[in-house]
Amino acid sequence: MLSRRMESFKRKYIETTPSISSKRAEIFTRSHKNTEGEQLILRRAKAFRAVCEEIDTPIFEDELIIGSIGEFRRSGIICPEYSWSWVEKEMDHFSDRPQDQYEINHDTKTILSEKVFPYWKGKSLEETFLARLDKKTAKLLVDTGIVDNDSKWRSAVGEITADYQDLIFKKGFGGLKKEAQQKLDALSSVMAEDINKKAFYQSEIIVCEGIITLSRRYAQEAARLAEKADPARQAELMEIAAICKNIPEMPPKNFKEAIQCVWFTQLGSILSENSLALNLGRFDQYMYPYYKEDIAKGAITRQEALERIEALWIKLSEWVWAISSNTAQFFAGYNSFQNLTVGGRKRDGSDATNDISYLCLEATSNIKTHQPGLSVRIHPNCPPEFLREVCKLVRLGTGFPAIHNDRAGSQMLVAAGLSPEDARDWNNCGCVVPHFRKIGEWTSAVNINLAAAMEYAVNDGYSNMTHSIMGMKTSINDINTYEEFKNLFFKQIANLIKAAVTGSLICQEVHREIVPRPYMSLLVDGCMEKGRDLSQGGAKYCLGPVLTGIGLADTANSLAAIKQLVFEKKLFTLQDFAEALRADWQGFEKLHAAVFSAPKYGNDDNYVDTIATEISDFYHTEIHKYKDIFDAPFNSAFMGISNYIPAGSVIGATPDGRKAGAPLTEGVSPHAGTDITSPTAAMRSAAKINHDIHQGGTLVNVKLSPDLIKTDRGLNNLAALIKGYFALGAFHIQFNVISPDILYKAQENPKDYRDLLVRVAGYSTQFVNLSRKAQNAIIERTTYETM
Amino acid sequence: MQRLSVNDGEGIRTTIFLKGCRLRCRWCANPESWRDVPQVMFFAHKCISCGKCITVCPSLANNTDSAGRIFFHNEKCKTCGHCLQVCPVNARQMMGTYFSADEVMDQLKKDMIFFDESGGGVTFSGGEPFLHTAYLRALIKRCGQLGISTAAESCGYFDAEACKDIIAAMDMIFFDIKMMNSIRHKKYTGIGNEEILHNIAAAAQINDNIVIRVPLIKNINTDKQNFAAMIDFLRENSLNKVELLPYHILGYEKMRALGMSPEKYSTPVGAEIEELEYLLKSNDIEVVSYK
Repeated sequence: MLSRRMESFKRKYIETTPSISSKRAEIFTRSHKNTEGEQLILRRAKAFRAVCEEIDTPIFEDELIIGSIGEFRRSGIICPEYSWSWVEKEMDHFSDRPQDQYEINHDTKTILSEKVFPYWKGKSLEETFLARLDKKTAKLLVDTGIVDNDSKWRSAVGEITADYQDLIFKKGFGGLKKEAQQKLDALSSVMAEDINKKAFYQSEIIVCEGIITLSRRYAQEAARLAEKADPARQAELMEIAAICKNIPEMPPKNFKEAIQCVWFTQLGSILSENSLALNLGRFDQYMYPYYKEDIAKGAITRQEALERIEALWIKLSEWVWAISSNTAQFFAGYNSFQNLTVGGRKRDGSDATNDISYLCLEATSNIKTHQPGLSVRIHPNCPPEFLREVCKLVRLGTGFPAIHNDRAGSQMLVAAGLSPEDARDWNNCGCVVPHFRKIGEWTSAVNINLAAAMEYAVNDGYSNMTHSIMGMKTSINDINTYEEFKNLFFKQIANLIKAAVTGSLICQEVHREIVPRPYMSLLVDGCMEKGRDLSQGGAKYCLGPVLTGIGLADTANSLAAIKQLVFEKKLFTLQDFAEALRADWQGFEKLHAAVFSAPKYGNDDNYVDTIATEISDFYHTEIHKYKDIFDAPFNSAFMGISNYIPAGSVIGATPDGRKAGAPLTEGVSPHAGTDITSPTAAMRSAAKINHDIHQGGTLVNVKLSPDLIKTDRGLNNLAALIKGYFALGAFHIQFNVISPDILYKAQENPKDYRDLLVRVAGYSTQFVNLSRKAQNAIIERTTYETM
Repeated sequence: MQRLSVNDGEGIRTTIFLKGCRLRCRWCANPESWRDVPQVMFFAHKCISCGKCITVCPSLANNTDSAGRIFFHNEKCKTCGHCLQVCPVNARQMMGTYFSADEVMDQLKKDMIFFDESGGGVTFSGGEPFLHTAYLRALIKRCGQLGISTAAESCGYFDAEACKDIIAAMDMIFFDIKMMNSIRHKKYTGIGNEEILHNIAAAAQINDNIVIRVPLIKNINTDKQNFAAMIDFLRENSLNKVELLPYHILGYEKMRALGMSPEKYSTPVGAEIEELEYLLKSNDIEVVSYK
């Protein structure tokens, strides 16, 4: 149950439409104008410090955790150094676009178009990247939805987990600053490699000064407001002021300081690059020592700690990632993918569940915000009480938590080269990427549309949407066996992978050159030691970029249909399929009906499940052949974001019976409506995929009828489903427990359902914030009913 | 065959519906399992009267009525399944498939990991599963070898003497008692209850995990007199677990789809059910639920 204070606090959050703030962009740009000619990393560090010195420091009514990226209660900021042209183009329609609307006032627009955009013309990441991209790759890569890496050149990378355990809580930013100073002092000015290190350490000192200044300014503001406040609030504000004086410069001394320190650290990340997947990591592990001590001393009650955690959840949900309308299709629902992981094992392998793990489940269940992305790690020895609480949260139907197989996550990271202890200490990144706080990795570098490769295989390289050659020019007339056709399809996939790799390498180079990450480099272990920025491979572990495959179920079903109907039953020819796809099945009802009855992935049918495994294995092997600019092999993943919807909208009909433009399928889930056997069958199909090789993560979404789990017996059965599924070796499962009726009602009366959270794929968001198309796709997902 | 069944015994179960039953309960929820052969069900409310089924049916089991709506003559159907293939709206469904014991075992083995985690297993339901004595015996034996827990749902009307070994080997059995008055029993189910009660009594001697299920049909079997008689019977036979299943209308649509003329019954209200539960409990009979 929410306290009355948090209830009203939450209401204010829900009722506020996000607004665009130009402050960060304006200050950052002004600083850049004053530092022309200096090294870029220094310029970016100075610009960050200027932002910390000058932006507004609003403290809103009743806040327990303070700090905002802009002057509005819910702000979105623009980072023009990455990309600005979409803002210029789209800002007049921010408030009326179909997905993720923002308010933007006239003054803000004027500042942006007069003071900000002109400076960045020709200098932004986007423009630099596009200038270096060859035409052939660009044809597949730029705004096509076929091979998509726009989140890596229209915005910053994000995708880190701040290291509270070994860095921030241990040293504080004051300690980190001191360390940088010592390293700087030890450098020689006559060695070539030390020149760059010098700039790096200077930059680290500057960003430390920035974040410490910001916190002190908040301390002053809190003290100022305290003077005029009523006695109860006055005490709170005085306490907040004291907290903000100590952290994040010094390590936190207690729970309240620690949780405020987490938010300031997060705030710094957002202000520095406004990116996705700024993960909070293993929150229960690094917060518990403070909690335990404070509880023992009587310095805090369980209820007070819970309220602070809920306040942090609101903070994480308030800010919005301002994105283009195109990107919003892929990352729908103002989602910022700040993942927070609880449960699992400790570094020594013993169970790690503690009171904070439970409090986090409780906070999400109480406050129902879309952030943080709450993930749990489940292992065979995890307390049954914890699994039961997880199941109870599932039953609420918010789509939280994302449930992960503890051992599979460790295995994936051992395979990627982590030490066993580090691999046991993993957390989630974004939605379902097994990650660790000392890793530097582009965990969602490119989305590759596998169904497009299928379209091109059947259609001799042509797209039925653009009516031009998009794939490799091949010919089905040369095909005589199923194996030959399969290899043709694989060739088309390999071609898309090549474009993805080319695009990623160019993109990595450009990042290294023009958008170093001095603030982020403070949060990731290894950078300080090596004297190298995160974008230069400074992290302790450098893992290769993750290429996400979209449409595994669709392509497996397509191959199964072709195998059965063309090569086994010989009822139709490949040419029939090609014509039917061109006609979007119009006039090919017989073929369409036959395809409908062909085996479908998700029914525990080996005929098609082995095909899905084969495709995913090939995808991994092909990707793993390539290495990135730090000599790390590229990684594969099958995680959907909401990418399966736009990825479907750009390709024609596919041989699985899907019509042109219709959504594909997320992750390794079965295609909507085709998994008709049982949830256990769907789970068994998904578990046949070799999850351990896809270091970028795999995702399964199963929609359950609430009837199945409404009783205590049902909760036990749900726990058994999870344990059984993980025993089969799968990595992740997410349950959507909402009846279609409720979703229809929410479509009709969005106002009454503003806090209805649904699982989009890998993350949860407010249902009413989704476009109609996305809403319909959610409703269409199979609902299992047992009579 | 239904995987992830959660109301037919402990844990996560796979339920095997064996077709064929000699009772004809008027409120039956699974009328498609009365006959022990495959049958086509036709859901008229889904039909768009496109007429494709008429053109493919070799038995002339489909025609149109005066309004142009499709009429399906179940009695003429030879279950070739052609109409299922062409129906664009899935208004038809084939009920029943022949499976060998091997095929059934293959299906059961698939969810074993979920049985193990949940304490579940297989439930043989129906129809009346004990009618398929040899088949059931073979399956039970093989389940025993693999450690798959077994349960059955039975109407009690079968040759219990011939099934003694199977009854003893089952981990759990649900027996239905519809009503204690044999004349009324005959009126509503087509058959008197003497043999059923005799079989249940005999089963209670050799299997100590029996749950008696009572479908609650308002004004048909919810009277105190019926329950008093039933309690006497249960106590005589040391049966102490009962599950009450309030009538639901899901069988109604199915009967229509099978070309029958179903009657509508109603469900007792919560207070009535609570009263019956109280009656049972005060006689030391546990009221259980597998919801």
